[in-house]
Amino acid sequence: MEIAWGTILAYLGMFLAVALSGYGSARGVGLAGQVACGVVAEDPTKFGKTMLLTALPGTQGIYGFVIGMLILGRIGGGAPITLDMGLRLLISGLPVGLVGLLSAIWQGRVSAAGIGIVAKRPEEGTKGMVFAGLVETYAILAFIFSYLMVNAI
Amino acid sequence: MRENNFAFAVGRVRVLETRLLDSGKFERMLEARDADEVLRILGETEYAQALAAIKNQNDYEAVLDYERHRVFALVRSMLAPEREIAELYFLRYDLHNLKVLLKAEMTGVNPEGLADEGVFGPQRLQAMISRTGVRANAAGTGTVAVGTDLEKAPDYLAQWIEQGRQAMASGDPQAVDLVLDGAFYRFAAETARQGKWGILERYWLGLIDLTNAISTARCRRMATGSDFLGTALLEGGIIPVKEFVAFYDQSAESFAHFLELHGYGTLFAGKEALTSPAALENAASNYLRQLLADAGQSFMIGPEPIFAYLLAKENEIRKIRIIIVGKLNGIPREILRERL
Repeated sequence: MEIAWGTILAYLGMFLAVALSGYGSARGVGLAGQVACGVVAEDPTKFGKTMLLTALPGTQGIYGFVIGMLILGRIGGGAPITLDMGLRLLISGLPVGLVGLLSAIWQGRVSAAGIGIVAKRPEEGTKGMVFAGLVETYAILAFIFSYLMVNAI
Repeated sequence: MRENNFAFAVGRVRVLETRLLDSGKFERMLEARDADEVLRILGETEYAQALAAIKNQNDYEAVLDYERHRVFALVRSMLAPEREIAELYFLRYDLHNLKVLLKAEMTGVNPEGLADEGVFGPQRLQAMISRTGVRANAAGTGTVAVGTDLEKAPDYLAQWIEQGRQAMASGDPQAVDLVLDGAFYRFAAETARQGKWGILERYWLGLIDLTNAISTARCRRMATGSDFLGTALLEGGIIPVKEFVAFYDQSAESFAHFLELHGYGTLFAGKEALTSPAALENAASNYLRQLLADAGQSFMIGPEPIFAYLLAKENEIRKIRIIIVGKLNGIPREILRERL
């Protein structure tokens, strides 16, 4: 049987988009979550604000998931896709995968620091969220570009 | 990934830090009429737990000890995954005990003022030090001599005991202090370096440098001669020992300038540090506490914010003790404020 290289490359693109951004998000949420647990253990009233900050690095995983679904839609269930198209789909998955991975880890660190602000000065906690949000910009840009690339094929 | 081991503890310490007493509370304690009122003010803070646990509330030492034990136990439980680093903080108490025990053996008196916050505790240390340990005999009617417990000690501790014993041979109790301090600071700096905790390493190297700076200032004040100074300095700091010796007979200003060149300029923000070794000592401990506190402020995740909290807590307890002792002895508040 002939190997459908195009389809395989497209699957690889899907895998990278979902797995890399998902791994980054898991690490980011994991770090921020532990700091948040420490804060809530001493002061349960801070749950709401720390929860929002903890959830922020989770969005990259969602972006990767959406791009993965789009690529899967392109692969479809029917005939094998061409090598050229498979390669394009692979490249389309890379922005959200790579930027998602790194930005989620760094956003996790900013969130962890932001949770420190919530612990010390709850009234200034929103500012920590703004800083964490700044990191999000680049995840969104990468997501938009991956989206445009998949749609351009 | 190692920062994951500290994340929970750092989060918790962030909240605990907010419960440290602020300057307003200290001001009220200074203004208090007597020690009872100071304890009442403490009752409004996280010391309430300690006050509730200690039956005789006038026993302020017991209250402060309880609080220190409570905080230490909490931090130890949080840092269980990183025992090695956490123990660096508490080893200073073992070091203190080791000095007391060895010097007591040297002078043939009963050891006094042993601390029980250490990693090993005084009894185990004693068993490790004694050339022949003792244990209860099978019938429970007395004790039998057994071999030394030294083999149960970790390598570094066994080395310290060995080095301490060698220093004892000189007959000078201060030599024991010097050898053990140096061994501990170098061990702590090395452990921090291996764990890539740069600021902690800097802390212990700074401790060596500043201990040397204080010794130099003292020797200058007492005019002991530069040969004696050479024997009273600790090896292993950032500044080589021979540089301190070289600055022995220079002016106070050039000595200050020399330390400034090595990054210790903030020590001399108050001019007294130039002339008084005691003021320099105070400035040095503030400098080191600030070093860790700054690291804690940058919201990094690692052992530094936790060590900074512990140092701040111990400093707070020290200040409260000064106030209470001062109030009990009727010392005017202006003098107390100066001492703080």
